[in-house]
Amino acid sequence: MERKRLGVVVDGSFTAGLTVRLDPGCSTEDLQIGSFMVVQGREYTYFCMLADLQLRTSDARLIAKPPQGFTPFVSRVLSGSATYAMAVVKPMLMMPTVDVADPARQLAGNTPEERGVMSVRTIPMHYAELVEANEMDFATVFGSADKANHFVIGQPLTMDLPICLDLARFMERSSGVFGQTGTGKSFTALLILAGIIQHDVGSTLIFDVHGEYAYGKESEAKVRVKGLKHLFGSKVLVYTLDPSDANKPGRPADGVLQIGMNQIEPEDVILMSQELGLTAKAGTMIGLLVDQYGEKWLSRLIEMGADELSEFCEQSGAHEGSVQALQRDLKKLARKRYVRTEMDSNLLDQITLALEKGKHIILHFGEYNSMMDYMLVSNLVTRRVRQRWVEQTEKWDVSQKDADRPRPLMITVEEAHKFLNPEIASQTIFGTIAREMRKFHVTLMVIDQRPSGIDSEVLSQLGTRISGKLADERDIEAVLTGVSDRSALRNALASLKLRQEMLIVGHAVPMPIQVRPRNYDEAFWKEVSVPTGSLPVDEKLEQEKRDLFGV
Amino acid sequence: MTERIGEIIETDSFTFVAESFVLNRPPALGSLVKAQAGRDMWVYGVVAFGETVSVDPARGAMRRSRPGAYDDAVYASHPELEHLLHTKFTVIPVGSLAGGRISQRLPAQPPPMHYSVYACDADEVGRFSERRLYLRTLATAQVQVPLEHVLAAHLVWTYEQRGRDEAWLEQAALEVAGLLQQDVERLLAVLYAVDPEA
Repeated sequence: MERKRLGVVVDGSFTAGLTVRLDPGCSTEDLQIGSFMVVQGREYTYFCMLADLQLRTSDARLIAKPPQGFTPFVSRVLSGSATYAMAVVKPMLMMPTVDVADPARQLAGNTPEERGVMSVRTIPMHYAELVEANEMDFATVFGSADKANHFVIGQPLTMDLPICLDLARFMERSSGVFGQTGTGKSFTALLILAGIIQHDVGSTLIFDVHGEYAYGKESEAKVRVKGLKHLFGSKVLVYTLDPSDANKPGRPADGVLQIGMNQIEPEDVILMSQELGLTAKAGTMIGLLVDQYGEKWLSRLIEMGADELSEFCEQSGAHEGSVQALQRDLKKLARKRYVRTEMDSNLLDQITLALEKGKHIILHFGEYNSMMDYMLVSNLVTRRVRQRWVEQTEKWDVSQKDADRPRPLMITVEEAHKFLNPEIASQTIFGTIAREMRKFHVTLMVIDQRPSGIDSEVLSQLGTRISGKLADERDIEAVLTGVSDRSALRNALASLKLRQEMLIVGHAVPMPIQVRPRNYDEAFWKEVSVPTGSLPVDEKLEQEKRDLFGV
Repeated sequence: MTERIGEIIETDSFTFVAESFVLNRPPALGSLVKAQAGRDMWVYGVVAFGETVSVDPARGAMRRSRPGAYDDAVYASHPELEHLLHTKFTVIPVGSLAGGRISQRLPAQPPPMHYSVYACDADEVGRFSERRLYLRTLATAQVQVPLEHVLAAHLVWTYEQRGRDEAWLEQAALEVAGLLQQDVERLLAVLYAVDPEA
């Protein structure tokens, strides 16, 4: 396949990238920062990203006194000679040129490594040619949809061909989906979740605080899109906090989630200090309560009358005013309809078991969609699930049997900065998962529009980052925390359009790439949704529930 | 064989000067000419300079016109001028033809004194200008003439000889632009002069 020549390498270094003199006739306006290109060296072919474009003149007089009144002829001739353009390309991967020429070998392997693509270790000599990448180059680097666990996430900005995400790799490490409002974050997350469910690469637990994932939402184009429950039926179980929500037509729910005060731990409450308006002393008070009442500390505190409260203070030495204030603040929690005085762990166990069996769980918040509800419930559920996965991993470590290997689990959290901001990231369960849970086969997909609010240690642990346009310099910095070649990527990120363009960097793609995410529409739904078989959906659902829970 | 247009009266490795057979009519500035340099050996060159001067350097030309008798009438009433004046042109060698093969290298020997200079026809110009390496030789020649004007004249003349070949002109202009890119004033002088769209 012939590739269009764009210029020749004239300068550069391994660290700063290659400087390419663009050919006369190749306009800077034909090229886009961040796009994928190829440099053909003598031994190796280099897969590069366009990092910068520069305008140069050979004679300073052209800058001091730009000539006037050009005809097109003069301007054409000048633009290829005395005024010219340079491109800076950053080699990311390389491959022996003999292999590039051999399509059979090139496309045989399942991973880039198997296809002969390796990380870049050298640079080409002078006058190596820069050419446009063709379909084969994209397939060599990014794989094609027929490879195992490869999911078409979108298309490159300037070409119409599929770009694949390796979902198994995506789930191996925590990931982040970022971008300011309107960049298509949640649609991209929906695409990926649908891909994970379709390819069955692991289980997912989704905290659907904005009510977007279970039953879909209205798109920017004012079209009602399908949710994951609609697409995947019984593969996806929806638990809702809002019983009134469960009975609405077209919104099938598989259970109503309630939590007991006995399940709420001090750390859950401390996490919500801001939302509940707790004072700095609250932690100490709660500690005293726990000492006294154990896991019933919250229900006892809420039920305390004035006498009982003073008695407790006398015994424990707590300041009466502070305990009263704490009681007042925590009553906000107790008033939630989904909070019961006491619950056994059945419901949480059901959820955990379903995840283990390969189901996908969406927690739907319904009308309880305040930050407080979200933080309380997600923290609590995640803690239980995580505990189970740790047990499983320990079991597997002992038995070493493949059958015991824990199923990969990805937990999707929106508004991630609420859990992962630098003040509390070290205390919350999400902080722990982001930092070390890979070894327990649990990862996070954090979705946020303000990545700068997330703890940098957590950010640096993210394997795959998918980001739409970000305006704030701090957010851009945050997205690229712990990534190499940041200056090139910063340009690529800043040059994205507001809508429908994303930069993917990290573990699930062999090299950074800008994509237009595919449409989340009829065609996509048809492609991913499972055939429902002969049973009507509801009946089938019931049957699966019986199979699963024996009820 | 094309027309004989002059006879060499000064010659060295890098330039030669010929006397034109027609007074006041040297070949066009920038045109391609060739001189016989031996058996089956030719030197190609580009006309870089033309002048008409007195044959005797000690006796410069002087005014001959009178009221009512000027221009052509001067020559009609002074037939001896044909012998007192002569027209010379300077050629910068840029290539050679030996054994039927064109090369854009300078010939090993300068063309011999008193040998003939010929015009080149359109076919020959087409063949010689197919490759344009000779433009570099022309642009870097050490002669006391403003070479950008020679280059401009050569480009326009060749463009016409090639049947107004715009693709050729643009490529040639690009090459000249590459050669003169450090000196944009000279470059622009060439580009404005050759611009077919102006």
